[in-house]
Amino acid sequence: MKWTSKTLMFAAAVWMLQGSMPGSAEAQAKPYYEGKTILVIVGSGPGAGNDIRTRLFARHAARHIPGKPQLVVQNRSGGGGLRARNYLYNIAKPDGLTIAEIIRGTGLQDAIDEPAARFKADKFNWIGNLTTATATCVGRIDRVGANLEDAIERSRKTQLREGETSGNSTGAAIGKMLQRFTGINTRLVVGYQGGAPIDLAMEKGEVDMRCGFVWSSAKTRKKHWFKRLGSEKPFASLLIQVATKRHPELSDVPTLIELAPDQESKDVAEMLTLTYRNAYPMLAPPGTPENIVKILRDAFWATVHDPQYLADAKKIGYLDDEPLKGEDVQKLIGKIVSSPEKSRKLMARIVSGK
Amino acid sequence: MIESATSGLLQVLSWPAFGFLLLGGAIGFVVGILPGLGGLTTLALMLPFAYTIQEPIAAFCFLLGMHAITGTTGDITSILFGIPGEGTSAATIMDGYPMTKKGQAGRALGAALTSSLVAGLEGAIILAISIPIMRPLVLFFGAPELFMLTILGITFLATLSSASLSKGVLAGGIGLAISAVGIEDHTGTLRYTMGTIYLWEGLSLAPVVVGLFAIPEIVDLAVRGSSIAESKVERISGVLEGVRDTFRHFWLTMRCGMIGVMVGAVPGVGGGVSQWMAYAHAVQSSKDKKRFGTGAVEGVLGPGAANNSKEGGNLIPTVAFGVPGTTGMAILLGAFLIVGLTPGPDMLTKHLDVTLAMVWILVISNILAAGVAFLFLSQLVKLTFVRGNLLIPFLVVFVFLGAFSANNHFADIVVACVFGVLGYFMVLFGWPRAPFVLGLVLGRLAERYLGISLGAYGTAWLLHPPVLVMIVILLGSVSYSVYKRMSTGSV
Repeated sequence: MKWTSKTLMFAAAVWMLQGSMPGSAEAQAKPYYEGKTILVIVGSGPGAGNDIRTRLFARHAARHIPGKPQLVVQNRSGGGGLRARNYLYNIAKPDGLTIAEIIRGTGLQDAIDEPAARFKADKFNWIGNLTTATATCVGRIDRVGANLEDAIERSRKTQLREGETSGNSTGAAIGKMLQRFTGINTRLVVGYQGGAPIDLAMEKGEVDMRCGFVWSSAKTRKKHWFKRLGSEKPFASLLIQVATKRHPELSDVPTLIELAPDQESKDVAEMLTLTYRNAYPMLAPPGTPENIVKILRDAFWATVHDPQYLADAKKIGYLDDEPLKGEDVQKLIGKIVSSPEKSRKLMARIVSGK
Repeated sequence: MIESATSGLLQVLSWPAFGFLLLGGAIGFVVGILPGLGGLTTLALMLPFAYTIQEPIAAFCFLLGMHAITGTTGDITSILFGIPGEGTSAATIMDGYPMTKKGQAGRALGAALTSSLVAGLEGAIILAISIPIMRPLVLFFGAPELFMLTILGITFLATLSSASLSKGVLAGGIGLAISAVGIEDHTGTLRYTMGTIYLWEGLSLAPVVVGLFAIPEIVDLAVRGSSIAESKVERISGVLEGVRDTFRHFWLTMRCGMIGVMVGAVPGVGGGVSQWMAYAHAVQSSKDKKRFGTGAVEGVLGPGAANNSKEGGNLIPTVAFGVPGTTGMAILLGAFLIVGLTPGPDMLTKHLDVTLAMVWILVISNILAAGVAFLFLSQLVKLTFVRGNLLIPFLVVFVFLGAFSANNHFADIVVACVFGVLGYFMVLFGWPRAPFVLGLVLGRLAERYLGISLGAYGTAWLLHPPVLVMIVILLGSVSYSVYKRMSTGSV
């Protein structure tokens, strides 16, 4: 091999660059995160469910990151998480000092070619998912009956009103699929400012049902609604669940995928189901060095199994289904964005309502 | 009930709960008084302490005490510098700042703090009284009734246009049109977002009102080259005059306090609406409407009262249904869960002592806030006699921090500047700014409730008995107002 001056200069540059990179041998001598601060961006406003979850995580995570950095939470709401996603992908430095928790939908927005999405979902470094979510459709017992069959039957006589935040929310998408798969006669009533106001509208009798109701929140906040949670005067019944397999407590409730009449329908139902499965994910910008991603993933996994974290999470009813490892979330996102083109187009039509 | 009330009070006054109340109150005081330190962000930041405190009443002493005091002290900077301490305390600027310019800052602050205290207590008492009927009360107001209430608010546009009806209504119309910016709920259509995600959620109130009101005043201060107060007509005794004003206009304070409670009890309306509706009511119920905007003390009493009483109202749907009325309450809802409580029927039976302890927290923190603020008033008032060119750099920083705290977005500052220019020209050409803000805060709500009403009931909602009653009241009051203006030729 002939050593030219150019080769030597290149080798020197690589050596110097390596020295300045996070995660280099020199940096590993003392923990990379020692004396540093990690900015944890939340893609929602203060007080939202995932804001509270993230602040809980941040409170316990530092103990599990070598060097014990400080974690500072910052809210960057807007566009259903789009603002935070675009920021993380395009502006945040990939140095492991900026990570985010952005509610479900990153993969779905990429898959349906959302025009304002300036990111590729599978290029993010996924750190983990705080918990999966089993979404359901629920209805007032006096309007929908005891189960899905009753609801379909009753809707033939009187159209059922489904309350949602907007016509293109994931909850509305579940409702539209349910309509498409089973022929249930529903119409959307939209404009509510979140799940709790829709629940209130159900109690007022303004709407008859809603979709996207997360089962774990029922267990913390709406025990008095359901017979299966011990209510003597049940107010609501469950119509379907959105999960890859039936939740152990909801073994008599069909999943959305089970109801799909053909393969194309199954594919779109699966995209939506996986979106809910990746309910509260944490992610880092693309290009974050592999060793830093590993530190973050390991710390994430240790935190979500930390007895102190679990005790606090239990207090607020946030021990829903299961956390997911970063590697598993990465695969799951890959599956959503690589869904067949026909299904992605159908999903785009369902979400946009066109 | 009496047993639970006594138990609640004793628990609030016991140690360490009372210590947490003092600590939360001190933080709330500083955050409220400094524009730019967002009360909501601070509340979210402090929420995890609830895990450590664990005991429900002590945790609420800390968080609710902080939240209530932030609201009370938010009015102080509105009056002294024309910069709202919180996005929700902008209406106090309308007459509070002109009073400061006339050298009556002490009187305005005295009036704002006393009305805030009186109405805060009123809100707490209403919260306590309404416990047995809380759930039926919230269930009674459906989307059609709420739509009619927003229409009632929109009719206040005319009231706030005392100088020129046509300019006022037009300004209100522009406010309504700007409220349409953002994602349309039904179809997801992006309206006037100009290709930026920032506008998807619509314009935030804080940068708009900060720009609209504070920037023109800073420009004016720079041009005048004098201090904010143009004349030294009072000493600190003016504060006592403000206290007396509250009792001179006691029923106005109580009515505006009631407006705060009612609007606060409607989930999703937000804190900004109640102050503007209370201000509009103060104008409407006055015989001499022309004084408003030039330093009428009633224009301070109204919004000052609503600013605090709304907290009692906000707690009603939060406690009874777990539906937070505002973002502040959404954060407090997190505290409920952290300390092991579930909002809902149990809060009105099994945990009634906790609910009533919250009433006591509101009462005690309001008294503490007013007491401490009175101690500092004389020092604060002195700031209005400082030369303008020394104050302006600090005011500019506060303005931009205040705007930026809405979304932590650079565009917040751009919005504040754009509305600053608009506000400057509105002042220059005699266009009222209050109807513009009222249109902005009510437009989105009116559209939302109309959409829900039509979606849920078709046109049948127009025949709901409460709606019919409200239509009759509205038509009556609008016809009377038009007749009166036509007969005096002030259209």
